[in-house]
This record gives sequence, structure tokens and C-alpha cells, in this order.
Amino acid sequence: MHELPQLDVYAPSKLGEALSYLSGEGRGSRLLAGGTWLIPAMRKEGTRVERVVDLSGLSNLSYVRRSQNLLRIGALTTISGLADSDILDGRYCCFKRLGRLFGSAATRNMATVGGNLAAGAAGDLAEILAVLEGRVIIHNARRKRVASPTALRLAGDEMIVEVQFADLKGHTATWFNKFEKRKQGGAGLVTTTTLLRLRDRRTVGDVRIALSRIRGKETGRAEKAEAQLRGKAANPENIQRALVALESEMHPAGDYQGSSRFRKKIAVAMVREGLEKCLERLDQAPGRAREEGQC
Amino acid sequence: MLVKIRVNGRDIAINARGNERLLDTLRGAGMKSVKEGCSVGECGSCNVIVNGKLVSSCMMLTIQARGAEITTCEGLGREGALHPLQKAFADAGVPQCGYCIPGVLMTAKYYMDGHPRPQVDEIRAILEGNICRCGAYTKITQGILAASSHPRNEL
Repeated sequence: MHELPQLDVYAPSKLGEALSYLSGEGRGSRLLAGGTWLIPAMRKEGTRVERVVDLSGLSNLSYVRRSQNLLRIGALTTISGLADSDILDGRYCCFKRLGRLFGSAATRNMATVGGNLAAGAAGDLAEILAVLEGRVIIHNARRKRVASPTALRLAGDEMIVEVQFADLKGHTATWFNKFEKRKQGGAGLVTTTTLLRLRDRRTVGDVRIALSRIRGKETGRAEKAEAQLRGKAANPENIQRALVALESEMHPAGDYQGSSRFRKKIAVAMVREGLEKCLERLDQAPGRAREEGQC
Repeated sequence: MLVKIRVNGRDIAINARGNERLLDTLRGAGMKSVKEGCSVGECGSCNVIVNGKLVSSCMMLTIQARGAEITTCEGLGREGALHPLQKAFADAGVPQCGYCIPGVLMTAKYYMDGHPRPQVDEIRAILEGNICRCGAYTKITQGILAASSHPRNEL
């Protein structure tokens, strides 16, 4: 275990101050939000850091808001703050489940939305946002830009400020699943997120499936599996066809924690469960999926 | 940087180094219940409550806690006037080696503050963040359930 290096800490109280510092004298600084990734990286892996920008003073970046048809989540919203938000109704089971499956209670109280996205596309939030077709708003001192959650590259003077996605409409349910060997520490061995929208209580109006390591270590959508279900009857036969397509289109990288074949088998089982859980929720009385319910 | 925090109701001002962890600051201030275990937020031994939220003090820089209200195990009760959780743990003989117990107590306190009627499955779920190498989880769960029978204003 490495000692924490000597750190020069800058603690801004406004976003503008942070961005000016990053583009000027603080160039090359690391951002410190919840600390659940950076502190272990310095201690376990000896990640070299000399200067950090402590973002804890930017509490105005902690929010979950609905403005018209858009849901907006501040980058410094914690995972527990997101999961417990009253703004997110029962259609957003994916976030409620994230609030159970993401590390420990202490980690969920510290880790932030922006931090999880900045730590890499293998994070849980990138996958959930891939299903919600969300976008990440990034600022530097001069401009703002929009990026995909699964293809996020931050320059040294940039900072994630907000995440946005269109509010889910209609008879829609979502589910998030994580398989891990131990409850603590790091990414799950396999994570899957599913979204199902029924058109006339039987036909699949929309389906979205995202997985960690769909190809290599890349997080992304299972488009062939989705195509097998979209516009079809939501029955076990069509779900089975989608799972066969999923098995053929995913090629996860294996490692010491789990072989490619193992990850694939687990992923197929978890997507099946995700689709079935979405159907279960949608089979309830109309509107129930909008309520908190059992996630 | 001069950092002011309130620990168990007492105001403290520290000239914190940039790399100083809250864990070290609290232990330096005499809060020896705050234990270092894994040092990377996986074992729960250093858990404390900061502004009403359970956190791993090994992953928080002291500078990040500026202005915060912090509760450690020392703030739950004192000898002769134990908190119901501490008393229930003692009565049930929960601790074996005892190293993880302060962190477990802070997790339990945080959980019970938000859950007036504890459920066994919820207790087991919240304890996923606390590693007890003695494997005292069954007795820990019993201790939390026993403490929950106390009036809310004592918890």
C-alpha cells in the first residue's frame, strides 16, 4: 500500500473558479469529488498526483431536476442522492437498483455521478446512461461540449458538469443488474441494464439492452438482440430469440476474474432476468411502474 | 489549510496537510475508535457519520470535511451511559476481537436513523460494507435488532 503523496489542494467555491484554475495555474491537476476512485488509485496503484482540485465546495452541482421533458443530474450528485431522489419514479428502477448494488452504503454516500463517469466507460453509470440514451455535459473555462457516456475522454482542463436524458414516457420499465464475486470494491464482473416499453400491453414498442464488455472491455448496446424484440410480441419465444442474438453478438474480454465464456453466460442470464423483471413491472396495473414499487 | 470541524459536538480547528485523511485527523484528536483497516474504503472499520451520512474516513481528505459535523463511536455514548446499540452489543456479547465493532456501530447508527423498524434482510444488506474477520455477523444482527426495541429518542 502506497502512502498518499504530498498534495497541493485547491478548494474552489464556484464552478468558474475551478475551471479557471484548471486552464491556468492548476493545469494538470486531478479532480477530487467523492474520492472513492482517486484515493484508492493513489494508495493501491501508486497513481502519481501532485495537485488536486477539491470539488466539495461546489454543492450547487448536486441535484436531480426535471425540466420539461429532460432529466438533469448534477455531476456532484452522490449515488445515494441519485437513487433516493423523489424526482425519479418507478420507471427508473435502474437507478434504485444502482443504489443497492453500487458498493457499500458509505461508498454510495461518497461516490458521485461525475466521478463514476470520469473514472472510465466501464462504470455502472455509463451503461445505465447508454440505455437511457443520455448525454454528458462537459465544461472548460471557454466552452461547453456534449459527449456520449460510453465514449468519454476528458482533457486536463475539462470537468463533467451535468448528465441529461429524456424523461421516460409511457408504459416503460428499466432494470439494472450486477454480478460480482464480492460485494465490495470495484466494477462488477458483469453488469447489464435493460429497458422495455410496451405499446399495447403486449407488443414491444422499444427495448434497449446495454452490457459491460459487450466487445472486449467496451460498454455498449446489444443492438442485434434489441432488433429481435422491437415491434414483436413480448413473449418467452421472442425473448429467447433475443438472447440467442445476444450470445452471438457479445465478445467480452476475459481475465483472471472470469473467462470470456463465463462472462457471456452470466450476461445472458442477467439480461433474461432484466427483461422478465421489466415485464413483471409492466404487467402490474397501468401506471404502477411509475410508482416506487419493489425494485 | 485551516479546517474547522465539529466532532461529537466539540469544535476542533486543525491545520490540515493536503494529503491528511479524516481518519488520521480523528485519531489524532483522540477518537481512537476510528480504526484503519483496508485503507481503501472496502472494510468499513473507519466508518464515521459526516453531516448525517455514513462515510469511509480513509477515503476522505480532512480538507473535504471542512465545516462538517462528525460523529464517531465516542459520540454515541459514554461509560455508564451507553447508547442502546453499544449496550445491546455488550449484552449480546457481539464483539470477539472487537476491531471492526466501532465501524459496525456507526453503520448501525446510520441505518437505524433512517429505518425505525429494522428488518433482518436490510441489516444484512447494510453490513455488506463492514468486514468482520471473526464472522460475528449473526450476533451483530441480533444486537441491532435488540437495540431497535428502545424508544426512538434514545437511539
